[in-house]
Amino acid sequence: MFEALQYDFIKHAIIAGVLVSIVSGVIGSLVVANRMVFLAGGIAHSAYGGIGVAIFFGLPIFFGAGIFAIISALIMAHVTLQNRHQIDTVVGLVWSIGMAIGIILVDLSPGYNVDLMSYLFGSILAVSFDDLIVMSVSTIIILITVALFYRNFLSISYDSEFASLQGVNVRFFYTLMLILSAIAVVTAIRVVGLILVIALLSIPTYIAEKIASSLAQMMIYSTIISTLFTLLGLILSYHYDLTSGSVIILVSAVALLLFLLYKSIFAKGK
Amino acid sequence: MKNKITIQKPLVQIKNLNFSYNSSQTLQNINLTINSTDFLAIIGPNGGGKSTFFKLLLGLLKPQSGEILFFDKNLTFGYAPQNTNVNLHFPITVFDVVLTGIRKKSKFSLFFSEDEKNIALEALEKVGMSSFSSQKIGLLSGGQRQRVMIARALCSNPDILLLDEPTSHIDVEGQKQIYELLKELNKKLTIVLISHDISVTLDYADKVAYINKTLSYHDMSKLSTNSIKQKLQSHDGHICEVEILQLLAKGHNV
Repeated sequence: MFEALQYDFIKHAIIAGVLVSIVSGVIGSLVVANRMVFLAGGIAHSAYGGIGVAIFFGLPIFFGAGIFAIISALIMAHVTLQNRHQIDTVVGLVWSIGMAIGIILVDLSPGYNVDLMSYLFGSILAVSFDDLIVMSVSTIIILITVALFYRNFLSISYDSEFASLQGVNVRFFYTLMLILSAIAVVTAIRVVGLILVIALLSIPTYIAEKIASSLAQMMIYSTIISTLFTLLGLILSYHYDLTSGSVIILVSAVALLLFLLYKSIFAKGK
Repeated sequence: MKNKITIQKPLVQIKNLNFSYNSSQTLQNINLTINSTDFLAIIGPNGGGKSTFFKLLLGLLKPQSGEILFFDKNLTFGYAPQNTNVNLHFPITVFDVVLTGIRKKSKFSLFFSEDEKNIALEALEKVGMSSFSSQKIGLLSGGQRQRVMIARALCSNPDILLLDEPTSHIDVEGQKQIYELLKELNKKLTIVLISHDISVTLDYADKVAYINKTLSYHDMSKLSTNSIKQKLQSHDGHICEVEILQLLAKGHNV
């Protein structure tokens, strides 16, 4: 196994896995604590439209996906804050329209030969050095923003009505939270893909939520858990030559199952 | 219809206030003065406009006509919400919940200063919950959680503490404790609460406002609470809430 470490693509994969774990640990905690996993799912899938645009016009993939993800984050923030009861419909619309645009534009792209599957299900072993730079920058942006506004995020996540009475700009921070989710989703597309990113945002976080006693702790625990899942998934995917994203998600799912089993047995024993 | 301003300092005066959602009038010609030592209970049927009245007071809604005058420009409100059962799974300790009651001085303060932590600790001590500070909020009982919400509201050092049905999800023993706590706090600040526990309210509130579109005000210190109770006491020693409500709803000349 260790001889694999001499390859650049393995080193890149490990760094990418850690970066994605940090991002999904921090943003996933906000997403799960605010019960907006479905919104994050919509953002992730709509980003596929951006990938189509990027391929069609020959733009960088991260750029196209990022723009689309942020636009859908803004739409969802607006709808949630204005007409909360319509959010289900809007998420469904943004989700499917984004994907439809992506698929049609890829169809129309001349001489197209990009492996589409890699954006849907991730291909951590194909992460380039340039990808790593983009991922590092977005990870740093996310970490700094969350650290600067941690108190506000905590306040609106726990009790947004009270937060607004305290003079916290709930609209602004809710929108910012969704934009950060968009950035996180795009950061993770290389590793787990658009479809599977939701599992990575929610499974480690779900486990962390049960054992953490603060939002910050939840972020740290889920980063650690996520790193373990990602690296273990990476080893298995390399070893058996399987799609990395799927392996990572299944590793997470099995761990979640074991965790729930352990919890229920432990709770009964009490 | 003017309310008497007693020796205590008036803090808020509401004059001829009207409010309606869409076409239906929710509050009509409301007049009320809140004084500095008041323990004011707001009672009335569901949908009668109690919560709307609170939102107007907190500035969350704007009245269509009439005005709310504050006698002191720096007057601050503390607010404890009705439902303390939201977000029970949220990973947050009692102490951190109370800390969210502190208004940030600068936009970018990353951590809580020692001063801020002391304010939160003090607030927890006031409500008798300091030994629970590192507990997760979801593990507390309804009564304990309401105390934490009161502590959170106390962090801004309010002149007026507004509570929306503070005892609605709490057992009888817990309710009494909350009212005893509020009575203690009332020595230093004004208490305004929405309540539907009429009989308990009468034991503690010195002013009662009955809101059902319009407002009827009662100064309980002028009415003899005991005489009302005696009048209404049924044979088993309980007070009939329906009769009290009818009495208070009738108007000023009880």
